[in-house]
Amino acid sequence: MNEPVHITDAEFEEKVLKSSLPVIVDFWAPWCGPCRMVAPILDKIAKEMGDKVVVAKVNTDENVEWASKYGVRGIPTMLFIHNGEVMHSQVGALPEPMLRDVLRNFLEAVPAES
Amino acid sequence: MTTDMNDSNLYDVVIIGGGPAGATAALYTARAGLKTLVLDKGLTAGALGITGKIANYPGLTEPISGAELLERMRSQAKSFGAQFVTDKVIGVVLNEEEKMVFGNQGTYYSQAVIVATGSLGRGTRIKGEEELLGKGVSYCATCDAAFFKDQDVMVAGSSDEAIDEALYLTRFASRVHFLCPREDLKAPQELIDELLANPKVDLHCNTTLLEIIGTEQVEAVRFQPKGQTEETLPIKGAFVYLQGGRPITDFLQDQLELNEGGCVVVDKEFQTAIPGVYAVGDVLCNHVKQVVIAAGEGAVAGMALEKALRGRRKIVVDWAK
Repeated sequence: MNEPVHITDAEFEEKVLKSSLPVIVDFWAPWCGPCRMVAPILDKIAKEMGDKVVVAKVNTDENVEWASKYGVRGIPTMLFIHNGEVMHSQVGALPEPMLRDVLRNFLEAVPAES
Repeated sequence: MTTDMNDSNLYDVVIIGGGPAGATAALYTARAGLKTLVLDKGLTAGALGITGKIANYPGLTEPISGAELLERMRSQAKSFGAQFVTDKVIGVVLNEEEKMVFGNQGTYYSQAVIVATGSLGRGTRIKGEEELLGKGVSYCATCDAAFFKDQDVMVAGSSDEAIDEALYLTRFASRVHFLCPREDLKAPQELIDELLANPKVDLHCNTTLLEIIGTEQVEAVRFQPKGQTEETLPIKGAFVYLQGGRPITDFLQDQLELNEGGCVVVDKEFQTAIPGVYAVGDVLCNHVKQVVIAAGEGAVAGMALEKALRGRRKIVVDWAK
């Protein structure tokens, strides 16, 4: 997968919670400036690391169920999920080097798949 | 990198902050023929816009309100072609040839950037604010208002930015409690009238916000009206636009060197360590906080920037124009 996948509430369980790869879920909306700031960074991550991590985008304008279940009340919120479990959450935009650090820590904490 | 860059959002120079420093820089760069954009949160987002009377600006012998002086500077810059857009800058990418400025409303691209954000930034946060960020605490109504549909929210601030955000929130929230720290609001009268006339808004002025309360989510705010006892108000969202006395540099996210006072470090032409990136006005230290000084710095940076972009060796003095 070399680009972010856009997912709906109905697909969330299948594509995020049951994913064999670790997932970054980006809760975003078109009218949110800070979301636009993170978007190109996530595009890059998806392109470079598509074999290690899934970048999933949830438009909160159209999909409220999982955002609400996770208590998301500000966007962008990025959840770092593995085996259905939220291992880290990041509220608000981050500059690229810092977001990459967060991702590195997340992937290091994820046990390697055999 | 995928971008949405096109002619309409590509500029020679983007100026962040439309106070006397930014507006004067814009006047100079626009007059020099550079495509100039000024991004600003509002007329009363900065120190000059909230100043009652200015009596020591050279050449203006009759006292004038700060907002009026600023409007004049802006319209003069506009007359030379500078564009002004109301937007709050939330991030930048400066260390590239093509610089990027991210606002709540859009992304802007330029060859040069002037930081003129002033010094009304906050130092300390309110108790609970940091912990509950994204759990009800927000700085962007456009981003997050939809999460508070039919719920009660609070807006803290007194500038036109705070009022604009509160009015936006009334489209979603059931009640908007507006807490302002001083006796009155510092904004154009028509904006204040609109806020006061809105049936969803409760105004609590002369009030100090003490704490944002909540564990998993924001549950309430604790505040104290001057000379009275503390009150607690149940709300779900807390939108904070308070001002303080620190240089506003958070959006730079460590891309420019700051000194121990939190001010941007510049050379004598107000250029930072990154070529094409300048800083002027109250966001600097060792700076006398006077309108004429801020304007002067804006002029120096504007001319130096033009010289750099056009590859000139010396600043050209245009006596005759």
